[in-house]
Amino acid sequence: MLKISTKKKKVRMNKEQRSTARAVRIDLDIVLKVHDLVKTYTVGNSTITALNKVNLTIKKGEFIAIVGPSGAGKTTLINCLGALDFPDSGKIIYNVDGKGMGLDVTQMTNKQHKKMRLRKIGLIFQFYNLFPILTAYENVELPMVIDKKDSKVRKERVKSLLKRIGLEERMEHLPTQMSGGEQQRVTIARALVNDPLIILADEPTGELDTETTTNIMKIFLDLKKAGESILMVTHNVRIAEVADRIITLTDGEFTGEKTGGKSIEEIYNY
Amino acid sequence: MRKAKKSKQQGLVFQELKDYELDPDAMIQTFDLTKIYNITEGIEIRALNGVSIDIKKGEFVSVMGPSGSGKTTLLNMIGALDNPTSGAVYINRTNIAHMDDKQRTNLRLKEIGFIFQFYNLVPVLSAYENVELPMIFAARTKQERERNANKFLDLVGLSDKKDHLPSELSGGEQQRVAIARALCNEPSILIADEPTGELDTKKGMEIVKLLRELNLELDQTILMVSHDPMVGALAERILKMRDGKIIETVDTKN
Repeated sequence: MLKISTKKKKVRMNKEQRSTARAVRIDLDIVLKVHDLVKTYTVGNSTITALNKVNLTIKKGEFIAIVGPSGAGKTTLINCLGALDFPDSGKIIYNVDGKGMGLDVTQMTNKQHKKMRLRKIGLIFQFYNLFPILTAYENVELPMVIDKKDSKVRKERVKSLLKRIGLEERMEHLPTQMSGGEQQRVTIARALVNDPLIILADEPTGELDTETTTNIMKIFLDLKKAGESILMVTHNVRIAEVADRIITLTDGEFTGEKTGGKSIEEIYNY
Repeated sequence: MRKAKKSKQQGLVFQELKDYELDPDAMIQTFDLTKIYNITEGIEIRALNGVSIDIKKGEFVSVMGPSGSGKTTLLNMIGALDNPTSGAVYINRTNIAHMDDKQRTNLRLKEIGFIFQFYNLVPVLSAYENVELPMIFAARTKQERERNANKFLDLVGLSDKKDHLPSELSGGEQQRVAIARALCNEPSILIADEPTGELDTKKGMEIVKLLRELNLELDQTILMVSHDPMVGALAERILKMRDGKIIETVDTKN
């Protein structure tokens, strides 16, 4: 049943409404389980259902693409899964310790949400969202600084990630001195810095040309090979084919699924 | 050796052939600033073509002009976010090209506060944490961070929303957070690049009025880029740009 909010603004549940999440068992090989997720927005007198009973299971090391037109609910889904927005009903259960301890994000306190965002979820956005006055190195380091990680640990981790994405030589550069593709690579490193359970990417190639898009997808495929779990939403149905599974989201509902796993060469007929 | 290589890579190697005439009252001074982008081989764009400006301490100056006239490039040079091809930028009578990486980082963190068109808040951090961020990088103590984050969130009227994430705030509120973030290290200069570009007229005017109040109350020097004549006119002086040059200076005080 749809729960319709009567307030105009998105409302975060208070502590009484959202008690500390109780752990549930979850299969070892599952990283995230979404059950009957519903999210509505009220604008004026009308209610918009952004997500309507969405169910999804992501296995460890899986790369899933969700495709759909603008307004299909893609960003709302990423925001709910990334603990940036709160669903009206449903469950979002993460295998938080990787050993089968499942915690429902929708039942967490604000403090737990913050920890999830900092440590367990790696978010990548369309517009990079880098802090313009900090260098590439400092932008990648940022979540670790906020998480009060030791400076030696930070240095080692940030340097190895910048090397991994091929920006070792440019770590002292500012975002204004980098191309869009380079900035997006910095955000990938930033998303990985605290070794998250999953990467959630919202239109990561929305601002990039075909060649740069291909390079970003190659990095995603490398990450998958290294065992990372990735959920990417995109309106680029062509590039989505590199993912293991491609799910279509239409008007807040999953309306189709197919197997992908194509190589970049196959997609572009090189 | 490493330093020399890095400097070259960032285009920081300058040969100063002339002595610039420094104005003792100037907070920001540029001399013959040029910036050339090489798009492809043989094709270059002159984003700045000899810009010399002099902005006094406590002045509120707006830079206006059509898209592509070089407004943002000029701000990026003054804010040490990018390096000019030739010419010089002096902040508080110091040539920023002569600063090392650490000094430039300090300049961006402590001396200059930046406000951007797209707010550039970190989406996974609350309003309070976004404001606190530059203070963490400036190695301020926890007490100082707490005091200033609360003080400036209060000043921009967002005390009651400090725990909200950017996605839970309206565009105008996000820009207010960005202003509080720009102010938190108490810089002497505020640089605002199209701060009202994403807002409706009413919200936009509120933001510029807030900047004007800050300019008067905190005696901050403000340099703002805008293409909206109503917004730009609230400044004391308007620098009009076209094709990488200042083509006119309008004093609005008279």
